[in-house]
Amino acid sequence: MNKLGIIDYRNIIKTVKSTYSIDFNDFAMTSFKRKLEQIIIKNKLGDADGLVYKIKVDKNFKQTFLNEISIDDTEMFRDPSLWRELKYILNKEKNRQSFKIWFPEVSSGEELYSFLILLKEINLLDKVKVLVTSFSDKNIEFIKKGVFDIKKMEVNNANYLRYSLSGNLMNFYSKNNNKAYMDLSLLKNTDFKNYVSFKGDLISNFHMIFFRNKMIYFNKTLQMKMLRIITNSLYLGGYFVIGIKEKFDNFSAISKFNVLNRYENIYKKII
Amino acid sequence: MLRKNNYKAIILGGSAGSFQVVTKILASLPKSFSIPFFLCLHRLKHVRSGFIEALSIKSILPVIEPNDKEHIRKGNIYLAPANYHMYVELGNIFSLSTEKPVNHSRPSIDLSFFSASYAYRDKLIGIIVSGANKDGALGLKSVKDMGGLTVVQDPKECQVKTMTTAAMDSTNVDKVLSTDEIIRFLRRLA
Repeated sequence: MNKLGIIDYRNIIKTVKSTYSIDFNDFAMTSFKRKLEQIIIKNKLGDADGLVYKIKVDKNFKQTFLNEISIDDTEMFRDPSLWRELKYILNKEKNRQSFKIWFPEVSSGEELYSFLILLKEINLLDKVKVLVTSFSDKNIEFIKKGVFDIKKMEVNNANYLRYSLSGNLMNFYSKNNNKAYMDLSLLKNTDFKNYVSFKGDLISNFHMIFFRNKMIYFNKTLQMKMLRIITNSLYLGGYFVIGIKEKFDNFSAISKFNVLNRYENIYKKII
Repeated sequence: MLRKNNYKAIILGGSAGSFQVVTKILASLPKSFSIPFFLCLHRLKHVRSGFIEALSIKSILPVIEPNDKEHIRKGNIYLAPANYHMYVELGNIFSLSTEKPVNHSRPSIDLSFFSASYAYRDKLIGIIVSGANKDGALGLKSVKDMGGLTVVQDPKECQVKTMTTAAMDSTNVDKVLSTDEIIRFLRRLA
């Protein structure tokens, strides 16, 4: 297949918006275009017109599209030192009556499971309420099953060891037929909802929002909008965690936050 | 005839083993060198710091690991951060991505080269130096296909030739140069 041109790219986004009511216009172009190209190849649609036609006429294609356009989390305990820092911070929040956490736009769940493991380790799993949202039902099904390729667990195990310095990630999953089955009791206080976080409606208020390496797939316009949504969804004193290479210093909404840790990019809402 | 105003960016790909070559190049670029220079080097995924510090010691120009959506500025050397793909978007900004590794690599040289060739077309110079896998070959082909200038380090000089020979097999490269020749070539652009 030839690379998508700008006109084709815009046309696909317009079709997705009118058919699925999700606007991807302000996604970062390079990665989104690449995902579209992969979807065309994987589903043998030939070219941009083939994809547009498929979206318009095949109602069952919606869930495939929304699943395949999502970008998976890379690995569990990515950036091990971040998780150590989070453990320290959450330990200080232990005496709260309630603690609500939002994971928007989750696609494959590695970050979620890392977080739940951390909560279990500090005996907070029973006290928190976690909300996981995604625009894809298939993503939600995948995360609920908690089954990962055993090959991917090598890096997860290595990261876990770097984070915990001792201990073994295998305490939280079992192996069978080249698959890793996560301990699903980790999910006991986690709710799932099909939801488009970047549309602009507010879903609830939270004490922590975990949104690492997700806004890198947005352009600046959508990043600014999403930062406002996140700011308005956090309680005063709430935490906001982003990827280590994400930076929003030029956005006015960031002035409502204190940087708790610049290296790990953990913010606290102070106004 | 090479005119320096023709080129808006330079992108170089190699693996960790090309560290000596890259530092030699960076050490020889003068302060007046104003074309943004992107480095996409295979490196350990989980080691966040150290690499950029080591490159900075030798480099006259500032070496930066860009944040997502950072503006590309003249006179800077940009290094793809560990465990992210580094893209050039239209509008002279970077995007980072955590998409799956390509050729077992994140950052992937191919992906960086694809995006840069799309953004800069014939105003891009692509360079492939010593490396241990074929990542970069399709990327360099893309630079060539979009009208950019392609340079490969002479495989005779490389301890590991896989990357350079794969790049030469993928497209009809414009120049095959030794490290010293690459340096002379780049200095003429300053």
